[in-house]
Order: sequence, then C-alpha cells, then structure tokens
Amino acid sequence: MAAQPLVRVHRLCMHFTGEASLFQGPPSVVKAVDGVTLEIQEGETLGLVGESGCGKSTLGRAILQLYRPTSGSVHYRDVNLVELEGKALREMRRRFQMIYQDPYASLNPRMKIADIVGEPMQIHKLCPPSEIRKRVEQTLEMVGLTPAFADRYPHEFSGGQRQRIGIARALAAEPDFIVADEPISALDVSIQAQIINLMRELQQQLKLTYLFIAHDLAVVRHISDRMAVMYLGKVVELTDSSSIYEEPLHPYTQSLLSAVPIPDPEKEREREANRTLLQGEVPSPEDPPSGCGFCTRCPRKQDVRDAKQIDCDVSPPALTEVKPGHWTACHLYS
Amino acid sequence: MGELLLEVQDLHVHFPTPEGRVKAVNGISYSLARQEILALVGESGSGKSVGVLSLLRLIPSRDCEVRGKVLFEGQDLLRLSEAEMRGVRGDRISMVFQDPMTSLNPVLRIGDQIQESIMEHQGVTERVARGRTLELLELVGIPEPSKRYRHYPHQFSGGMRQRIMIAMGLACEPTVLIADEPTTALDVTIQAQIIDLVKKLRKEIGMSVIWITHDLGIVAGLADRVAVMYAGKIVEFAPVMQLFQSPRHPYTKGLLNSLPRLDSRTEEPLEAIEGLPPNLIDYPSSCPFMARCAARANVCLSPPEMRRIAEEHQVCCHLAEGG
Repeated sequence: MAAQPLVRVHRLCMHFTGEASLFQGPPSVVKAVDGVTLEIQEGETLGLVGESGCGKSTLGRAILQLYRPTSGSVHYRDVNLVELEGKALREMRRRFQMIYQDPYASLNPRMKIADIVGEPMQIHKLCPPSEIRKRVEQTLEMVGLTPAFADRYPHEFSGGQRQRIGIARALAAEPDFIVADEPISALDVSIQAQIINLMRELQQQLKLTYLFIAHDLAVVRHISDRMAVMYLGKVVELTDSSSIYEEPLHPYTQSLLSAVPIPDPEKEREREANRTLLQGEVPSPEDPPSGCGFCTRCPRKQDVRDAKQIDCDVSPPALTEVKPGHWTACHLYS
Repeated sequence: MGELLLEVQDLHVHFPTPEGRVKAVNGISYSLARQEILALVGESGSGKSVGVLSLLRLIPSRDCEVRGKVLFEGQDLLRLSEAEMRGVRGDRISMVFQDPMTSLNPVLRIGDQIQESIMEHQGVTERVARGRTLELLELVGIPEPSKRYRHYPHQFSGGMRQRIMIAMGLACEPTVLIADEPTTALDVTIQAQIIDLVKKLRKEIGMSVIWITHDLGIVAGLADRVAVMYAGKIVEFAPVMQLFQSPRHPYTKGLLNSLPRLDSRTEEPLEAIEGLPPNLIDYPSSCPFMARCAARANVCLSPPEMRRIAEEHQVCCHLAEGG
C-alpha cells in the first residue's frame, strides 16, 4: 500500500494520575497506554487485541481525543488532533466515530431511534432539518432495519438490533474512520455473525477504515487486515492477520493464541499436548516491571539471557520490524 | 460410559408473570455418568442456567413451577425436604457461578467463607476445617495460601476470585460439580488455567462436571458429551466428536458455521443464523427453531420429538437423517 496512512499514532501515552492523598504519599500513575506507535491505512481494518486492562480501549479513545493524551501525537491525514481544541476539534470529530460495546448502555432510553440517529446530522448540519427524517430512514435501511423503527424507543429492540442502531448512529455523521470497541462481545453467538457481516459490507460500500478492538482473537482475525497485540499499555506485535496465527513471534502472542479454544475436538486434543499455559496474571499498570512488561510471565526469559546476554527484567525491548511488515517488541529477535 | 450418577427426566420450569407464563425449560432429559464432563451449550435465554438452578432448587418455589424428575443416588431431588436438600447442596452437588464478583461475600475473609461450608457439612472443628481450606487454596493455585486465607474478596483479581469460587465448590469433595459459565468473565489465558485445573481435578478426585457455556471452543476441548439447547429444549445430544464432525440439527450446524475460526481465515461472509430466538411467553406450537431454519418444511409445524439416530446421538428434528 503506497497510499498515505489515514491515521498515524506516534509515541502516544495516556497516563491517569490518581488523587493525591495526605496519608498515602504521592499520587499513583496508571500508565494505561505507554508509548504506542502505529499507522492505519485508508480502507483497512486494523484489529487490536489484548486482555482486559491492557489499554486497548483507552488507546481507541485517546486516538479519537475522547481522552486527551498525556503525550505523543495522533495525525489524521495532515492534522495533528492532539493540538486541536474546541470548534476545530468538533468539526474534525465528524470524520471519526465510535461503536460501543454495550448496546444496552450506549443508547439513551428516552430518545426515539429517529432522534438518536438524527442527532449527529443535526449537530454537524449535514442536511437541512426537513431532510433529516428521510436520511435517518435511509441510514436505518443501510444497517438492515426497517424505516418504521424510527418512531420506537431502544427498549423495544433486542441486543443485535440495538447494535445495528449504534452502527447507524455512527454512520449518520458520514465518517471515514470508525473505532469499534468490542462491538459484538455483548451479543449471542448466532447474532455476532450478523453484525460482523454487516460491518464488512458497510466497509466496502462506504470505503470505511476501522480500528476494531476486541478480546476474541478469532473474530478479530476474521475481520482485520492487520492486527496489533497489546500487553500492559504497549504494542508487542503488529503484522498482517495471516502471519499472526501462522508465525507469531512474541512469546505473549504465542501463548495467547494457544489459550484460545478452537471449536474442533480433534484439533483441541492435538493442541493440548503442546500448549504453553501462561502462569500468573498481568502485573498492575500502576507498577509495571521496569524491563519488558511481559517478563514476569514470559516462558522464554531464560532463553534470552542465554542467547543474547540481555536481562529482560532490566532493559525494555523496542518495537522493531523484524521481517517486512512484521513488527515485534522482544529481545529474542533483536 | 461409567456408572450413572444423575438423571434428569422431562424437566419443565415455567415462570408465571403478569405478562404470561415464561416457558424457560420445556421437557429436558439427560444423564450424567461418574467422572464425566457434560457440556450444556446454548445462547442467552435458552434455559441452560435455569435448568441447572432448578435441579438444586435454587429458584424460590413461589416464583416458578418445576415439573419432572431429578434422580440422584436413587432419590428425586425435587421431592426432598428443604433440610434434606441442604445436605445435598454444597456437599455432594456443588455449584460455581458465573460472576465471582457478586458471588462472594465482600465483608468476610475468603478463608472463613470456604471453611464455613466444610464445618457445616462435615461437622469438623475449626482447626481441621482451616487445614483443609489451606489445602484447597493450594490445589486451585492461590500462591501463599496461609497469607491469602486472611484476605477479603476485593484484594483478589477476577481470575483469583474464580479460583476461590472453585475451591469453595470443591470444599466437600462433591460427586457433581455444576459450573455455570465459570470462565466467561475471565481472560483467555486465565480461562485456560481454570479449564486445565478442572480437568486435573476430575482425574484426581473423580468428580463429574456439568459445564454450562455458550462457547463451542471450550466445549471442544473439555466435554465428553454435549447437549445443545434452544428455547428451553435440548435439540441435539451427542458425544463431543460426533457433535462437531456430524452435527444433525440445523441449529447446531448453524452455530458451528457462524463461528469465525482462529485456524482458518476466509474472505467469505460468515453464515449467520437470521432472525431471533422465539418469545418464551408466546411459545410457538411448531418446532421452536422453524422460523429461523433454512431447511424448514410443512412437517415442522408439529413439534418434533427427541429421536435416537445413532448410538448415543439424539436429535430433536423431523428432518434429521440417521447414520
């Protein structure tokens, strides 16, 4: 892809500072996102995976400036969003929208569907007020709902239908870039496939670019062109969706993949024999290890010490391109 | 298949509500053998949780009507007195709930919570119960049990709390452990640890497990036999290999086809099952899956019965072929 990336994230940090307290000493700092650099090409889907607390949702929100990043930059084409304020930022916001995880919490129960979907059109003055209704109905049809639903309230719909309404609201602003934060994890298995298919159709039809955040690796792999794996606020591996399964490089990616159950009993029996069960849990982002974030659970730490004379507890590895298009942050490949 | 341990016969659970009767479970039958892991799979509202909660009589009887038989060690659990039932619950059959955040008492030390059920059921002294509790915490992989024993639930992470719930479920070495989506709230790497633990314990203490889940991936790696539930009925029941290799019910096939798989990537759209499950108040008189079924025919207007189409393979569909 020679085209210029649509979104360029450079050394983005999002640190949350706790409240200072008289008795507990200096306030603690949670480094939710800690120096992330990545690019999203126009028209592609970048999948972002990781376990809870790894900072994937925070990264999505910091890119959209829903949180103002502590440091680093986010370029949308040539504009650095981090420097924008007030009206200029609001105008840019039309171009990037978000789809939320919980379709029960993200729709205002007191608003009719027509108002939920029509509001962005009104705020951004995308069409004369008299045409809003017509455009709402068109948008509903685009997401597979009948226009007659416009006069109903959110509680009348099932989870899958609500998620379609959430997608319609995001589309109402005519965005180029959509951050979808776990858009299907609250839905039943048989409904998930409907929403995934819808999102792919809309992408082709409207030339959308997605950042698709989820913890379900199989789903992300299905929908994404490239994938980024996060651990403790950092991207540890970034490559195209086939390589990530076929040749995962980072020990964390490897153990994450081996922990995902595959719906095939024969394969599961084979995999069980050489599964690397990860021990322990993710360290607290308030007090991350000083070296590599994964060093407390890494099964290959000793190998690094033997082969490279590098101590993972002390020196953090940088995200480097070890093969064309395949980036990883691990001393094994330095 | 080993010795038969638990047998559920034609269980119905209905909830009378002002809007009408919610027909949550509609005549399910299954059996569980010693040391077997049986998976109940289904989506939300399929009746999988209500079905097992009612076996243990954990739904207040004023809220629901339960019909059928639950035979366990020669007794019908649905006909025991409340006092007799307390002797079964937590002792010979115990349960691990989905959400470890809400199922532990936040104001009691976790050691005391585990110890309580041991003292209650086995009538041992506090000293003995404490020793047993420490062993259990060690067994489920809690580091430094003698220190952690004195901690409160909020001092543990989600994965740790779920291990504590499992320790509590195992406290009296039950013959049957019922686990209701025990790993749904957890991350995959922690989920893998819990599944590994349950498999190990099945071998070590020889218990049987009923594992409720919506995740077919977990089922493939864990279960011996699988019951697929839809709208309060078991629509297909088979050994795990058979179910995945030759699913017969259109719903089972649909579920398997709608899953994106980690080990193969296609550009094709997923085969979604269109539509929604039926309303359980206004329960259809036809086959409950008919409205969403691609293969539906006129015969489906009458509800199908469970049929045996092969040794150990049962399907509830008019159109399913044997062999």
